[in-house]
Amino acid sequence: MSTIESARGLALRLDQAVHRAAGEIVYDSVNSFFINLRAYLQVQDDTLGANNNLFAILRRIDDQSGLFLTNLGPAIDAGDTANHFHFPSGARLSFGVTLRRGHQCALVSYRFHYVHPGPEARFFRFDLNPQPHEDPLSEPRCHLHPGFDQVRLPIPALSPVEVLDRIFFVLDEGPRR
Amino acid sequence: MIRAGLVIDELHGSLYRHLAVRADLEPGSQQLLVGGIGSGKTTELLLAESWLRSQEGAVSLYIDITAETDLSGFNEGALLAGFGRHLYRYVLSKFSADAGVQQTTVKETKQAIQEFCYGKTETEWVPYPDEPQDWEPEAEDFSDSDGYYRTREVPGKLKPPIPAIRRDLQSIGQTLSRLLALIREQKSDVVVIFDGLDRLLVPEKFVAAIYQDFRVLRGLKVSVLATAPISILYGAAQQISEQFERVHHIAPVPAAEPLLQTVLRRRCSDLSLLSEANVARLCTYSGGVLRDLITLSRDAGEEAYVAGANEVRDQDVEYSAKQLGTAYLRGLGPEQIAALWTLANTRSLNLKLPAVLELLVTRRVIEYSTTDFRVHPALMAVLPQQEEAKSQ
Amino acid sequence: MADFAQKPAYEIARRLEVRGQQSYSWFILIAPPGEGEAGVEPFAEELEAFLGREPRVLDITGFLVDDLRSKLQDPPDDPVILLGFNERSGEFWSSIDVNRSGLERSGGIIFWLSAKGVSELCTYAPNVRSFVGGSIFVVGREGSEMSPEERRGRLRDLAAYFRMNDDEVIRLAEARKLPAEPEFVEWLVLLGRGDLV
Repeated sequence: MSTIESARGLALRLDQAVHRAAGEIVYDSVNSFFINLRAYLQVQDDTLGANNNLFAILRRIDDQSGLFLTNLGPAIDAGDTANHFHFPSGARLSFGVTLRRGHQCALVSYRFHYVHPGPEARFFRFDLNPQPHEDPLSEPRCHLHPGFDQVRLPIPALSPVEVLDRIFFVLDEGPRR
Repeated sequence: MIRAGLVIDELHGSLYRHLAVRADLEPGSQQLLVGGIGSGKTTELLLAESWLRSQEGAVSLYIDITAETDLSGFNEGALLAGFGRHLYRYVLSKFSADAGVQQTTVKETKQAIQEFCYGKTETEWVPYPDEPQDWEPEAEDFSDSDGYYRTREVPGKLKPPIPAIRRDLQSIGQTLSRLLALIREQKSDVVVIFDGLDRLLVPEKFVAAIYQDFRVLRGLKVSVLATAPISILYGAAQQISEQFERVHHIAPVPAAEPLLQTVLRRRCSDLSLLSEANVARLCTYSGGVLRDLITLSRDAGEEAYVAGANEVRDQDVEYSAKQLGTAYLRGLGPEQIAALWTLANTRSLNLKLPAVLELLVTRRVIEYSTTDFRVHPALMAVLPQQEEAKSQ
Repeated sequence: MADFAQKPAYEIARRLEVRGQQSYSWFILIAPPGEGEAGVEPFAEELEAFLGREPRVLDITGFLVDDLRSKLQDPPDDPVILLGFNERSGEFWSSIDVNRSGLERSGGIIFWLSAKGVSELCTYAPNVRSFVGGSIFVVGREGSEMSPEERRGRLRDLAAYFRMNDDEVIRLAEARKLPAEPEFVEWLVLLGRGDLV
């Protein structure tokens, strides 16, 4: 019989494995990460016929502490803006990814917020927290919000492109060219 | 592109047919095709070749000689070498299965052509001079009291430019004659089409490259079609033209000519992307220079696509025209800019001045006829006023 | 006097991708003043990201045209960036012009030139210029860095949503008591306090 303690124990083991896997997501340089991410999005944009101005909406900060932040769209999704990535289906995407510079650049955290078309504005948000939480049952390090801010379901340590693959090829229902 | 139906063969009034018919009916004739950069010379030559292929009794060999060797140096014999290579390959493909004389001829000529093209190593006897020598002969010399043998490299004609060498084209002419005889036994005649010679922009370089080789080809009764730089039509270079049976001038198609718009429409895969007005504007900006028309259209379409537009917009056409015009503007000095304004304002052009002739050769000025010259429209749109040019 | 369009390296790379990998395209890129060949590597990275193939960077200093022809055909289908055109004579450019057919290849060729080099090409190599057409660009700045105004806008949005101010976030970060969400990492970076992450 599962109790809250055993659930927490299992969640901890799972979270430790995800934490280790997240530590293995590294990049040669922050610049190559940014360039390749932008190229990925451009190719998706071209395939969808979406006409987003990637050059204008994909932004970056190179902090002197060694952190590198990439943003697309607003920090908080409070409704549609011109800076979102817009899908022909009517859906929208905003995200933020933080890396740490180094000999190999490590992934620190991310959030990818995808809003379905329609009046209910159902959303999926993929989050990677910067650190494991003391209660990984309620706050796994890498998790999915399935339309509720309070609900966090654990997911594998996906790289940013793997998250985007799920958004473009699984969640979005629009036609592709 | 010809096979894909993207070329309008009547664009220059069946010029290719005139070229091909004369070459076919008059063995040994030599014709030049002259036109500015991007005027469609290669297309006309390829159409001529296609027409000749369809005729019985004609063997045509199209050679872009600049793809085969570097003509920018002094290199007599290069055209004959290129012709020899192509002729040999043709004869090999036709007669290799035959027995007897044909196969023997093919085999015997192979080495001569290869050596002419790519060079050879020769051993020659060098007699000692009469006076006693201060040096001892090399141990490896096969020497005796009268002299010694030495090896020397004879460069081929299809190599990078080298200092002046012995030029003996007679022996290769005899070799080529044997191969030609095989073809003529089949009641066929050979037409060679040399493309790329128009890139020798200076008439003297053009003459240096062709003079002896074309003489040999005339003696062999091989008809020649060749491109030539537009500079041979003007000034002292005009006498070059007198050496040829015909010099055909391929002028740009007037921008207002409906056929020019047809060229664009045939190349444009989706006509809904380009409005009638923008087709007309692209034709105008091209000045009738075919290559410029194609690149203007490509650049305008690309600009529209990158901007996320659903069709080519007015600003995309203006952008591509400005890019092309700026490319023509680069490198012009104040004297040339002044000459362009004089042409624009008074329609007069002094082609006796080298700097002005250069404007024609480099396509900043377009020749619609021997008396009708205009500044390239894309350049005209960005040409600075003379005062501004002087201050740069 | 008119100048060529300035485009960021990203967009130029995208144009090459749009044309296709085997498009026989020739481009001329002009380095921004004072930058020389410093921009080549970032551009090569952009090109690789779009084409999925690392471009060859070929310094042709000292090459004869025949050397260049050999190198370009081995292999003939990869994207190549050519450098080393400074101090080349008009004769060299004329030779390139005469040999344009021999230099043709299915992979793209990008000439990385100074402003002076472009003028010389346009003067002495008109056939090459005709072939390039309007595909001549000044390589512009990257341009994706967030402006101070953008940063301020994001900070306002975060403060409004979480009902906290910047000082509180910094205090919590210093005490290692910040909430776990990734938005707080971004908040600290926006404040220039990535050292607290």
